[in-house]
Amino acid sequence: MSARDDLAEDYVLGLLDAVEAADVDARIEAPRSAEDRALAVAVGALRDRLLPLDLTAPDLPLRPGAWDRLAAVLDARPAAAQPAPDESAAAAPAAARRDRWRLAALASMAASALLAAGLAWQVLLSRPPAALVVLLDQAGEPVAFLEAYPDNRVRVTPVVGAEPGPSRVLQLWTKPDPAGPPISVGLLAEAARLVVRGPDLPEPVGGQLYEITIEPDGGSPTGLPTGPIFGVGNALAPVTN
Amino acid sequence: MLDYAETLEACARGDRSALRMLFEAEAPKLIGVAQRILQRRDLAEDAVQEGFAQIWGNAARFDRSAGSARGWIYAIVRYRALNMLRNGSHETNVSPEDLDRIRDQAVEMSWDGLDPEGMLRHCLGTLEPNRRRAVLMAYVAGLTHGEIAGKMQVPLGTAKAWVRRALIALRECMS
Repeated sequence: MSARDDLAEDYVLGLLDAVEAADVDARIEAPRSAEDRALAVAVGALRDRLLPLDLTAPDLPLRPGAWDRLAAVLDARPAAAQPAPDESAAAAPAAARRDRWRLAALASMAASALLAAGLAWQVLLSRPPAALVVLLDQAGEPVAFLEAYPDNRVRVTPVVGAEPGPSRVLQLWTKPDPAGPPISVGLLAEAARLVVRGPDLPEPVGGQLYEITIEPDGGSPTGLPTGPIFGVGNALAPVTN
Repeated sequence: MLDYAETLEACARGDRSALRMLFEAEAPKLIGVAQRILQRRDLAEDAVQEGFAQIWGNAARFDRSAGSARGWIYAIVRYRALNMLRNGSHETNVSPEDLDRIRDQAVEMSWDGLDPEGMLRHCLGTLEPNRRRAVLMAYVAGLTHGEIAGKMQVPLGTAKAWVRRALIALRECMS
């Protein structure tokens, strides 16, 4: 079918926009219909046909310690690889970590939903935010407004609607340390006005980077942003007196 | 020769040594792939590191019936590099003219590097040169339709049509 091939080709070449690409990602990673399945096969076949082009790239030698750095990133990740059932004993700590992380993710989503229902606006409003952020999309258009509070809560006010797509969530990140990795603040099932309570981080400051990416259900599998960016921006510190 | 599918299946079971083997075998070329897109070696290394974290986390989702394991691995890293390029939060330290020249070189080297007896080389060879370049610029250097149009000094619709027709011709030639 030609429309399917067109889509597979644009996806493999990297010619789709972020939202379209995220949609194809979701469909081929967890096919829910025969058409999704056929798309996954078409994408796989095309990747294999074009792979010889990748193999013409020069080999650039690994720097010493490259593996150790990768291993350190994997060790630091809250989400571990799926252990096989027959290794459950050996992998118990990893599984426990993973469950704890899932619980935390669920709890933060539940908390977000509750707060979004309007139960706790006043509590938040009683203290001024430490930082304000306008998130911009790739075209430089504003997509969301954030108010980051000193108690690790971030109020998200989208200014454009976004459906992250099937099996996708929006994930909010920040970089409290400009030289460090992005830290996940929480997950948003949709672009709705809500409050996310993040992990315990230093008080937000002006200039701090915030971004929302589109990730698989449950959040980024790597603990770092992997999906396309919905919006990104640097915090502004409000004048206090 | 590494059995990529078995290695991924070992990764899915949590076998860190399998990932290490894969990393040591494939990361150098993958850094090369990412650098053709990102231009900067440090960013290319970041893309490969993030890509491998993703490969480790998603290994259980690899499906043998939808393409090869090696193709899956390369696609993940290419996609990481493209995302970094498009998100544009990173500056390149090269001038637009140099960038242009470096990208042209990368495209040319990819074409010259293909196995002359291979099907891909044969089928790309049947395309009109401008259309072939448009496809290679997208795949090898990560250019968008708009950038391809700008570079080839044709309207956006023309660039899109070139790429589409080239891909249809490739599809017919290769199937």
